[in-house]
Amino acid sequence: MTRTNTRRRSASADLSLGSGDLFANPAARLPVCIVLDTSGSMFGRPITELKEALKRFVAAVDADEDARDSCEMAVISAGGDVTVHPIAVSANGRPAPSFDLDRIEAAGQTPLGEAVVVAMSLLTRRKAELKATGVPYYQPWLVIVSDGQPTDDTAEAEEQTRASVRSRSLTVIPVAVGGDADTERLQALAGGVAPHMLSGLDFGQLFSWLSASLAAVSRSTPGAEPKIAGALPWAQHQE
Amino acid sequence: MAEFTTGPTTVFVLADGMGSAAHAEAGAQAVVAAARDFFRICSRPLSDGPEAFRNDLFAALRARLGRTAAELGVPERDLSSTLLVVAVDAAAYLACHVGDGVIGVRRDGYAQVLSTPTNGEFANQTVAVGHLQGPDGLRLVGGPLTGVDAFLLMSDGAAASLHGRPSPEVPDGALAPAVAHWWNGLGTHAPSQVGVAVREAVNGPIRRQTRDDCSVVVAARVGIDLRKQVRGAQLLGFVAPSRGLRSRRRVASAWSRHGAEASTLRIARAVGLHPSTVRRHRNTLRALGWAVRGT
Repeated sequence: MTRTNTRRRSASADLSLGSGDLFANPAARLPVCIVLDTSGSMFGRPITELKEALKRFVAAVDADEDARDSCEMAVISAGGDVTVHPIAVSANGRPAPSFDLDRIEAAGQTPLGEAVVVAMSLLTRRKAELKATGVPYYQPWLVIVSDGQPTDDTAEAEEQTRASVRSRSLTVIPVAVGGDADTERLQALAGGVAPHMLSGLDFGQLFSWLSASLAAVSRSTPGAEPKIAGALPWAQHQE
Repeated sequence: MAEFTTGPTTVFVLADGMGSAAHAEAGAQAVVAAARDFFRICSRPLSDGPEAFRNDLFAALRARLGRTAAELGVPERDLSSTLLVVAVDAAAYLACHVGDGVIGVRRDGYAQVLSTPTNGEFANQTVAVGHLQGPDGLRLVGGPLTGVDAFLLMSDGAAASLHGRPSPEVPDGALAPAVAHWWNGLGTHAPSQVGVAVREAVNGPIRRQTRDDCSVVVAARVGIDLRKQVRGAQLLGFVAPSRGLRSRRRVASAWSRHGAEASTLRIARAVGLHPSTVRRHRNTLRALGWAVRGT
């Protein structure tokens, strides 16, 4: 008598899953605000280098699948007035709307206090929106890059960032550019976080590190510390 | 992950070590062992209610973690792990949940979320057994087994596909249709077949949606004693008084071969059973979601 092996190697047809049998939950979001000092002191080579580095940064985030799905970014320029430039990377394979970085110009005073308040408002509002719709999110990031000192009232910004840093509801990364930066005021503006000193105008390394770090956070899982790329090798803390 | 039966009680355990913990796997094994040992020596019936178990279960978990940490010479935080437990006896069930992951239940035919993840504000934050300050940190849910006939335990990675995100309309989120598929499958197919289906889904579309570990325990009342863990399937069942599972499987298989439109008489001849027996199985299959006609 011939025996037939009826053991099936794959699930029988009526046990296989069809489309709609699993959920496609939204990826956890990572809200990021980058506050840039675009005052008159950044005119010339500094703003040119900064914009080039920003372009590479956006491209790097877009190229990383996890970061692209997670990061929600805005650049807030503080030069004369405060302007919000939302950055949209591509989603689901569709090309991103163009973000004209060349519109950023270096001119005017340094309303860093107002820019940080705007950034905090954006981040707070976005967290509330994500919470209301059940979309998970990572701890938001606030990056502050400045080569001078604020020319407006920073009290409100300092209070907000201090409270957020104390409650561990925000990651703040202050970066001082050049020897004229007022690091004490920048530290106060950053909720007490000591600024990193950018060496020269190496914005490229700064944003390369930033894109890698955001990608690491986008890949982190519950209970796992994100493996941030290096310990800011392009800078050193000022004690 | 573990399943065992001690006296009248069957227990399912799933623990997920945290990625940030240096000895996460040891921590997961420790909490699984602690839960196992606790229920093996605990003579209290589950009908006493969840609160009757809170203090002793917490003490057992923390004691085991402490001993393991001492043996390995590491701090307890290096053993961080979540924990999902479902215990079932003839009359009641008890669920214990610490951290992320989800426990699902089928009650009166409806799939529901029994226990949601305990996450911090941020997506990569959760609670571990070792983080608990006291017994109140254990989430315990229990009740009579009336109307309850299936459970599902899933790790956070699997929940990315099997648990719909909470919304204002569905505060606890929903279970994916795949879960009911597998529960029903346990009533009509051999556990090994359902195990293959679960494994294919976990290793395929579910794993593609996450970077986290994916583990699933599927349990349903299937009418036979499934004390033996099905190898490779992580598929387990629990005992309930019911007859005729084997013949029902034959009937289900025959309807799969001959088509849902096949008559009861034809199926009866095909499997060598009396038509009344086939009709009885037909009604059960329909209750499990099979679209069989059979006149």
